[in-house]
Amino acid sequence: METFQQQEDKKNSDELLYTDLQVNLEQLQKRVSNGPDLIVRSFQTKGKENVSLVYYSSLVDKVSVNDHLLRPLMYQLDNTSELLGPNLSIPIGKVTKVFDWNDIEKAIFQGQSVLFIDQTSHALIFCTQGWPQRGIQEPQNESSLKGGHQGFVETLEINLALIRRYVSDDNLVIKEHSIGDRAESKILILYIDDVVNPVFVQEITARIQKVNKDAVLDLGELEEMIEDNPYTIFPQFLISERPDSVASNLLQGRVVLLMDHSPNALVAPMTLTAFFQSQDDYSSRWIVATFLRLLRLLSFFISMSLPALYISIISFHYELIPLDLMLSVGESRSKVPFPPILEAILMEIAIEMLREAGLRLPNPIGQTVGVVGGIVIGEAAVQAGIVSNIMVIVVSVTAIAGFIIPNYDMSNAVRLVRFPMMIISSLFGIVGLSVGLMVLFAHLISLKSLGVPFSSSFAPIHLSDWKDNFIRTPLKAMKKRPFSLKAQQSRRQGKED
Amino acid sequence: MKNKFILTIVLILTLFVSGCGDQMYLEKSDIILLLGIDLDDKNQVTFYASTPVFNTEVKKNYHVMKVKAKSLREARYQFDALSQGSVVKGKIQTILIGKKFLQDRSVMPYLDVILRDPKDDLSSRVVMIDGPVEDILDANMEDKGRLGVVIRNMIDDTFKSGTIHNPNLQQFVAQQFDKRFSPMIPAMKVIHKEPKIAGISFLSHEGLYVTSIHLSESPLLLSLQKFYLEKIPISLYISSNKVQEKKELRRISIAIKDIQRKVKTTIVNGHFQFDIELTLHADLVERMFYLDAAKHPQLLKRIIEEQLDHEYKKIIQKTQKNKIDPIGFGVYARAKQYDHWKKIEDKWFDEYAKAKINISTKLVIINTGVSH
Repeated sequence: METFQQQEDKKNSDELLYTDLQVNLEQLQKRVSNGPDLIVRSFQTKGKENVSLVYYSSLVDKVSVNDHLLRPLMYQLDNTSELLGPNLSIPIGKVTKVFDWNDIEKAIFQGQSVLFIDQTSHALIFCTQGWPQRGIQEPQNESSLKGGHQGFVETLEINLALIRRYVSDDNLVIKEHSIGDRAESKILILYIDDVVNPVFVQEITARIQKVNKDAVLDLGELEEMIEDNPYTIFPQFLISERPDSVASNLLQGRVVLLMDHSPNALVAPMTLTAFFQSQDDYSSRWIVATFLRLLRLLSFFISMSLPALYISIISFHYELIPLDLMLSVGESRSKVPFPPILEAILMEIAIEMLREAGLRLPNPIGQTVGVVGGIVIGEAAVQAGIVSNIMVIVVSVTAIAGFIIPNYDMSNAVRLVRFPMMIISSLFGIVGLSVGLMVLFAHLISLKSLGVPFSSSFAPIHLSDWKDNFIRTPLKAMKKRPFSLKAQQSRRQGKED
Repeated sequence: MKNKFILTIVLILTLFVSGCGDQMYLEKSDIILLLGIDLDDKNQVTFYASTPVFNTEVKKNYHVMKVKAKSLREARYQFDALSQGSVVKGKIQTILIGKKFLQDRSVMPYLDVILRDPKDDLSSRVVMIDGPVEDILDANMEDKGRLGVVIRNMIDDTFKSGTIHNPNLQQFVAQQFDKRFSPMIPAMKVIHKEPKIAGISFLSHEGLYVTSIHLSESPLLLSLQKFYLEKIPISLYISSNKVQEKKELRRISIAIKDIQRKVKTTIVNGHFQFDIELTLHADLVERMFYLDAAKHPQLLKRIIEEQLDHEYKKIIQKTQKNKIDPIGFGVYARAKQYDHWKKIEDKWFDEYAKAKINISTKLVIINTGVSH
């Protein structure tokens, strides 16, 4: 086991290739860990040159290596220098010539094949990657009824292809960055050059370059490192697994990040209202879509404050509810030995546990957990007099309302905001709830996403954006891109005035 | 950064210090739904309260308390002594006031504590009980439900059917202070342990009980007042000699759907004169005697109009005799003859008794129903 210091020393030693093949191979053994999947194939080419092909068998496409590389090298090629010439005689897309050990190491770890040639000071790298891949599937978290059913996968190239299929614009700019010192990941920044506000591109590039970490394994991790305020509960960027929604955001003038081995795309900047929109909204009738969006807004408030409201009414303001409701609440509460806040927190935690338990289990078992939990808690707890009927209803309605919010991160944020709201209203009643909501809204207004006000179009007010916020007007009316994004080209439909 | 964090935590924790104190759990409080005020045999003020019992295991689901006290606030401490939870009065549905009490004194000072507390309900119904209030609290509720809810439902339902006036506490107070008319409140009675709406009782401007009218007359009063929700049902005995029929069959019923009222206010010989033209749009819903409507299309209308004029006059005379103005002629007097009103403002009810009131009713029958 080498220490970190030793490895550093080694890196700083001579980085260039030697001319002797044997020396190079010895050097290689030192640098690249000698796992069982490291293949070093030494042979003589048809032109009698001594060469060695080095690759990780787990990371290459074997057909490609065997048929398209080894066979021509062994039986057809006269001279290795032909490999770089204009009449490339092997069917491999990309061949690069390198002199540096670092490039070689990186190439091998990325699944490329490296050809060392005796008596030359360079090596050739062949693009032969091929690794275990998942087929394109329906997005799990953001399934849609009308939109496309393809979701992103863990391979960058495929994800890019999925987006390109929607946006076949020659102004679509794709810039490559890499991140992570130890395990390097490729990141692509996508934007439409003549639409996007260039400030966003500069800002996000600068933020990515600032990240200094040994490895960034997922976009979610990256999000936390580049967002405006990592201490808030609310997501400021959208993480989506739907190519169509990403394409739509690109066309609106947002910047999209793709990362290798992350089956998601990150969209920035986002506003609060955009989290309540789903791609299906644009393909359904506008009246229906408007209804659904208002329903989401309502459920946002229900999910945040219904248990809090209930607690404050039954612990402080019995005057607020109609007499008949009051009587039935009173009857149902009369057997419960706990104060309302405790009862509510018990039920909420039970529901959260059920939800979390169901999430990690395989589908059939997850359903069983739901049914058993639902029956036990819904029926038995009420029978036993631990919770009241009304509380079960309140908690279930709240949970259902939470599921309506289309974005997973936002839904989680709202689900957690509920608890402080409940506590503050158990202490101060409606006054507490109002103050809690005020603090929350003040916080939402103070947030920014890539410098754009998070609650934009409400604070600050942009009336023209209201056409596509909590209502969706007919597509015909939405002639401009969102004002908050300050796109270079604001008109997206009809003639420029 | 670290200090900021600690400060935040401390601030959050201080929340818990001040909270919780004024919590009052719904199921642990005794919520007065029905409040009664009356005088007992020895003329002492007695307060009654009925609160719902939430415990589903007990047989009777409401609790009745009776205390003697000098004021409502004092009574509340005594109610507290009688109840399991803390007694609260933010949801009083009905305030019952005994007839004996109203004959003796005005109820207004006793309700001051309710009017003063912003948390209290100003939409409580105010009802007079013709008889001791205790009878209502002892009434048979086994086949009905919670007392407070039952009484409220009875009053509301009768109000909706257009037969009684139902002022809430705020309106009652406003009526009491208004110089232009005198208050009226619904009256209830208990017969054989069964509560019943009896009609409308009239109070004087000072808040004392004056007289009352029966449930069968009260719709007439309401129609004269141009007060209506959807319809006002009126049943009449026809005394006209144009109808040849036995006495018990001389009845007719109409349902008033719309009222137009024109009031001409003049001063004749230093006294007010009101000429009222009342146009009633109504459905004929019942006619117990025979009348050939095809032959005499106008006859039916005319005999009803005559009868209505007669009934209206009777009611007006009754109010004039008692020097009360529940119909609200004072509103017209003030609006149309302000100079004269200013002179007699403080003795309007005496002046009203001297006023000459002419009424002529026009009936428009919209629908006569299915004829056989």
